[in-house]
Amino acid sequence: MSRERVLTDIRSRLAGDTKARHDAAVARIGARRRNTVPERASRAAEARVAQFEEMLARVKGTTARLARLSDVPAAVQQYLGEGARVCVDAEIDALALPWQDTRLTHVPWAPKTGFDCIVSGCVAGAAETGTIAISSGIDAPLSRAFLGESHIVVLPSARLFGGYEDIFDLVRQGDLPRHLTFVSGPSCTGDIEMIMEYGAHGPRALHVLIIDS
Amino acid sequence: MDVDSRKFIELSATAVRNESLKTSMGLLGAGLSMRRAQAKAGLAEFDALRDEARDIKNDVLANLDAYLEAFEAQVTRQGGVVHWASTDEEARDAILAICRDADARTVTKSKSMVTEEIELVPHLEAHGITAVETDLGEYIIQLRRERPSHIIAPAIHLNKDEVSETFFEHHRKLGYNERLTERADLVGEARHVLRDKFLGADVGISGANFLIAESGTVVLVTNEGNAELTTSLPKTHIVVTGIEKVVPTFEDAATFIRLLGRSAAGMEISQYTSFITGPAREGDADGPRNFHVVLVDNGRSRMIGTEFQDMLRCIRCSACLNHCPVYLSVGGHAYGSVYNGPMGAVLTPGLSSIGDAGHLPNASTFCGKCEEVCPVRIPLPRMMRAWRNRESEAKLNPVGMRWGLRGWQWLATHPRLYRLATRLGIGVLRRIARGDSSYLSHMPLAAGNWTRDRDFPTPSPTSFVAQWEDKL
Ligand code: SF4
Repeated sequence: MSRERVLTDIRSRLAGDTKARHDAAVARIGARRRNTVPERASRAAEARVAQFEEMLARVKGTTARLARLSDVPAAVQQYLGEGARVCVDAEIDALALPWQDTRLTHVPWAPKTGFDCIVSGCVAGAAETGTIAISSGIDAPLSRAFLGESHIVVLPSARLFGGYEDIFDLVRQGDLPRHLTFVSGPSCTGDIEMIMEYGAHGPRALHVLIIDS
Repeated sequence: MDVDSRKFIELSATAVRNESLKTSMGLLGAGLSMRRAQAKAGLAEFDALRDEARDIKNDVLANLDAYLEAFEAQVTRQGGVVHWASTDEEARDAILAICRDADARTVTKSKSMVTEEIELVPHLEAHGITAVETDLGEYIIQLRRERPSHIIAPAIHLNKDEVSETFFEHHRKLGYNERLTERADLVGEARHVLRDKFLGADVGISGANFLIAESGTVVLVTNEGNAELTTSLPKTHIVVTGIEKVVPTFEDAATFIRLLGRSAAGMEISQYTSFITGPAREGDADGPRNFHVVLVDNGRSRMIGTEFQDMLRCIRCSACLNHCPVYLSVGGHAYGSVYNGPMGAVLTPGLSSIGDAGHLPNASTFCGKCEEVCPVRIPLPRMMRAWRNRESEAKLNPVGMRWGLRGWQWLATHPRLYRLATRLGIGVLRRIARGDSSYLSHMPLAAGNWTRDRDFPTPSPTSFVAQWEDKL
């Protein structure tokens, strides 16, 4: 069997015995030790929002700060303009926000036809690189974040962490989602002559609404 | 691994005269090395991360069987299947069998060097399965039926006009009749064409940047978002990757993520970094029902315990290519291997043989830049030297070269004669230069081979040793 062949080939070249290596690996994995975490990934909560905004702006993402969750619909309309076709994901929909005060056209999740914009929640943010983490789940297709022309993400500031390790600790508390994605800016490609173009396969624009309360 | 590296000398001689390649390589070299330097300067901990990354990989390689088994156990627990392939052929067969099980007619692919290495796409196509590359660069070269010329920017050898021509020729059949000339429009058209492919594919095939043993998680890094669509829309996802990609924990993956984008293109982090663990869960709104990981050896285990083991730390960031004076002069295709530049010069003979790929480790000036920028501190020049030794021991290099080196060795161990020879050499070269130029563009006899494509610095009037003695 190929499995045995590969493992035998590896083992025949390694020092020590199989059991010792197994124990070493199990101990190393179990320790879940943090390696060097850069200073920029460990800043105090007050400093993180500004840091997040600055880092995301560097990669052409935009942000807006809102006092309350109920400000989200107006902020979405302000960003997209009246009449935009938005698909609001289940997590945000469940918040019963005052969408009726806006003139946005709500469309259901339909990958084939597409929409102007998808509004979604997120798992958390990491200020170190202006990164947000989204995940797949029940009522939450991962692909929702990739099929709109633009993507608006709602991020409560309490869920804005310093670095990636904090996000890992959070998702490890429950069952890991099938698919967790760190998003740091809109989709882009430099494959033609090394010049960055936005909107390669995913959204052309990424806008994060940071909720203060 | 099948390589075509015996023609390196002829191919590189043609490549250095290719003006459009020169422009592309200029853009690549200047752009990426500057961006990397900025990113490194912006992160005080950068070098500390490199040391840690090297140590993590060393630990993984020393216990590789155990980490792979841990990874496999977790994938299985999540409901996925791990396949092991000792050779490229076994890998291709395993992937084809999964595709057949899924009744696959079309497959979308995100970028993966291992699938290039095992020549997967031609194999699928030969068995009636349409495989579409979705990374823009890979898509362009797939249309042109070319091989990648760079490990992360596969179409870097082409310019915008060539892409425009390629799209016009191929997309016309699909009803796109306009010849596009703007870069943004070309990207937009590919987006449009490929969107349907994503939505219609039966199987999605990806590579892996890292495998996390702790949880059986596959880490994928892209800027375009194509990997995410490839891995969440079709009913079956196949990950094809090398056995050396495993890291112990999420924390370890974080260290590598902090290095990868910065080393590759000066990016703090790539736009998208995905962590994929098993198939779709009960009730999930999307995601594949079948999740397979194919672990490919194909010559890697042979390098363990040898002077080439350190090469298995490579994270395919491309920094060594982007800083290599040889790669930037001849481009990727001359190497005749999907792995090119300094990393390819060490890895290619490892995965094939020094007999087939002997030219590659010889194509180095030993400037040391590759090792200086490598995020996992791989001693590439030392390993190229080790390959040269093996080549020489096996008498695979040309007879003239072996005798020449032996002659030089004799001379170098006889200082008086060596000095006399240097003085004569200096005299001859300065005569040719007629004292008025700092570079020679012609040299006599066999030395003329050197000046055919480059200049030679005119030596100073006295040798270093003579100057040193003067100073004493
Ligand atoms: S050898 Fe080092 S610099 Fe070159 S691609 Fe691999 S990791 Fe990057």
